[in-house]
Amino acid sequence: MPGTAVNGRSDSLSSICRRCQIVQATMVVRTEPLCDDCFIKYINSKIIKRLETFRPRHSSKKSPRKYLLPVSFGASSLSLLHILDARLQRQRGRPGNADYELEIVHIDTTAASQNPPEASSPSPTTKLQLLKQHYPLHNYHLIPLEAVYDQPSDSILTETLSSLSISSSHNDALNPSPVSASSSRATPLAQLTNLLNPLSPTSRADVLLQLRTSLLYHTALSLNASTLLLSSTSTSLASLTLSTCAKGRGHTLGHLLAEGPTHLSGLSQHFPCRDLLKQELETYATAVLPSSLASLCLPSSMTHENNGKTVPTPASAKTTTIDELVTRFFTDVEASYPNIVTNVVKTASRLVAPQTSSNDEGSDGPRRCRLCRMPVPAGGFGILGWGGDQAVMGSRDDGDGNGNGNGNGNGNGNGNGNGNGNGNGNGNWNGLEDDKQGSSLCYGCSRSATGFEQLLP
Amino acid sequence: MPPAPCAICETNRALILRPKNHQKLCKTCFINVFETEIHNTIISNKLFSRGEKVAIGASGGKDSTVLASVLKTLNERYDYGVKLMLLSIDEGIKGYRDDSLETVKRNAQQYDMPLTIVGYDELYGWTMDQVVEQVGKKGNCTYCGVFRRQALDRGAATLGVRHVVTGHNADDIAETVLMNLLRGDLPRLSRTTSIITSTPSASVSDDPNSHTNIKRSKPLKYAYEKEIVLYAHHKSLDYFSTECIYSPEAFRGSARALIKNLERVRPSAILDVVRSGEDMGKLVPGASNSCAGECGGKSQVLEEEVGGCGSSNSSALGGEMAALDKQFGHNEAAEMDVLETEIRLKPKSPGQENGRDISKELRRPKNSRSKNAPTIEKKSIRQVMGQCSRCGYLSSQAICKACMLLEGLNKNRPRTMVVGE
Repeated sequence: MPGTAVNGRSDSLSSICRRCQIVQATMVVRTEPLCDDCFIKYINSKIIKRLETFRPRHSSKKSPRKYLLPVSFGASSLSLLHILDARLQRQRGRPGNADYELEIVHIDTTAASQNPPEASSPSPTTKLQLLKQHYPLHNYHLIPLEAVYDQPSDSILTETLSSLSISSSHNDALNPSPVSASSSRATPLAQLTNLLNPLSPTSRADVLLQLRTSLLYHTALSLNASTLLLSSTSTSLASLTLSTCAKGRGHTLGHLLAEGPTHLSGLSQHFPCRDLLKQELETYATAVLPSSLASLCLPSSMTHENNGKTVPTPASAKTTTIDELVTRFFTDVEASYPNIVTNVVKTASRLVAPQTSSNDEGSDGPRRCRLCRMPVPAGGFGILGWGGDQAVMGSRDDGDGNGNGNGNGNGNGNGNGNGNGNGNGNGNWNGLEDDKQGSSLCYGCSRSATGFEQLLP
Repeated sequence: MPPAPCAICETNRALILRPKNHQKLCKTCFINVFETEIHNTIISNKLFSRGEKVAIGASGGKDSTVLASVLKTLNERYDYGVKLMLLSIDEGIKGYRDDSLETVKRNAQQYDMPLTIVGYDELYGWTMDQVVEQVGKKGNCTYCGVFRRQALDRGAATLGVRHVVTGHNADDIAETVLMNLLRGDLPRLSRTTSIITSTPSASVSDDPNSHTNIKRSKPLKYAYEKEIVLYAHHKSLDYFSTECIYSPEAFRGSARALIKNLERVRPSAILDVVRSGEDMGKLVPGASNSCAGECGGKSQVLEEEVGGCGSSNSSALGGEMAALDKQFGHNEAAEMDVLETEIRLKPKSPGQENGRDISKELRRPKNSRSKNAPTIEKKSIRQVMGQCSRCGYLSSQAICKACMLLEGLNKNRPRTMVVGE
């Protein structure tokens, strides 16, 4: 790490550390020359400060609160685990002071991924075991993404969860699906690949992200965790903001970035790393993590926070996804204009989560999108009916450009569970015209998964 | 492989891959679909009323030329009963505007519409060339934008027109949404996406020539730039395609590049960003309640909300982004160190809702663009409309932005101009 310049020019490295005023500075952090120790303190304090904001005033001795910490094995999630673990150990040293327990979760998307994992990289199981060796205080869970298809019947699901589950409620009535019974016989993995395979790269990555996010929320509830700790950095939140916007899901931003209560009752979320830049945490991770762990998240610059996927070097438009494009954009912006990155997050965080009015609500809470499971305001379902469609018969098409519209009827392997013409525009985009009311997907999810509703969990 | 037939008429050979959705169309069907979509937008947003006089803000560029052509066609085809005319602004940029105005003059003849040209020099006593000579190329777009907004309103008022349509397209709107996110301008984010905006009337004026309360609308709001170009090409429209010779706004350049990349990956992305922008506008604190009912989904604007002179040329990118970055950094440092103690006005009394927050003014006295940058204070401030004490234009301040800029310009101008020749 010595000599690393963290978003700064190396010309000011000749000075001494501005904080301790003793040691030679080894890096420049947001225009401040710092030494290694002060840099580590800086990161620690930024995160602890965030953690303190939602620490209960009087911790109850009976049941410490449960935090769910998803790990992607990237620099930021491992750094956050490292800090939380150290903090918990300090607290346990003082009797009656420990106010939380950690449940560590990794959502395994390897089976759903089209690119086979590199042979050299250890499996998620191995990685998780390694974490457990280093941080033995906590519970570890490895959940394959295909578990989204198990959700309603999963034994660990609590009552809260089943009442939130979409498939059991009014949406089925709106959207009778003769095929869902037959497709549910397939294994969860087969169901997942049937859903993902025909999609264009952008839609695929998007659906994957939505499934992963909703699985996280539901895992938190099923483990009785009251709080979801997300290790997103300022940079990854800025990317999330812009890609969410670019994918037509602007209406969810108020919920996505909310610090505190989520759109699911009984669950809060917090972003303890939201004040830090991606590169800062990468530098931190290489400095503080045990070397066997640090090697997990290296090469750190390749780690994509949102879905644990690597960001490849610029590829053709055919294979690039919107998420990758935006991530790359902000990685560039971060290097030169870190404050613009932080400001995007601050700005977007000021958007308020919409209050659903009573007429938007079904019998059990607000109407939700079947894929992203976010509350959807009235008129927010489907691609049509908002003006931007400029609706004309026969002129409407999906915008995905990679032919996923055509992939539907003659597609690869989704023929089994995907009967055409069941009232949801399958196989024929013009079928969308009359079907605005019937769509169970919000605008953004419609862009990614219209025609594949029957294959969704 | 035999040539693909048009996806709509299924008889003609498809010649056009529709940028918006990659549909294969023949020329006739494309033109027809394009026009019908604009018609649908006009009808569903009730943009026009019978007998209304509508001025088309015409620059001679592709957007306004297509707008004029489409509106003329639709007005005849669907009998809107509106009286269309062209209104051009002469910013006074040699080698750019003088040439494009020639195009507008030809358009006026081609479309048989009356044309009015309003010049910055007659309105403000300054051409943009003179402004640039004085302030330099950096930041001159601010002058141009502020001046143009007023000039269009004033031009419309002299024509007795209450409605100006502009050629902003979906790409412009999407760009502006991203740009406002990047620079942290939430209030403007909620305004830019409205299809109809109007300058609010300060005191309801009976004067038909009053330049307040002039309605603005963007019939091409959902039309893709690429389709506008295709339309102009296939209709052989006469337009001027040189970009403004002065530097573009840096943020617009960077947002534009991103939009183009997004479009390449997923053609619907432009429309999706517009949609997100509309939805996010509803989530801006105070935005939804402030005009619930009263303005029926219309948004009120004071300043130019969607700049029309963006350019993909982003040579000036660094400077502006760096400046803003630095400024955000200052704000943050101030917040962190609490160097600047909040001089917060004690508990807000109801009457203070509309007052300006002193702490906010102190924190960022100079750069008005930053007024919406995050601060500890999160209250959104509602602007109170008054009139400029100098020119009578709508303003939330005692003196409107244009007069402020003019004052700055005039201060440095020699009392007696040396007139050549």
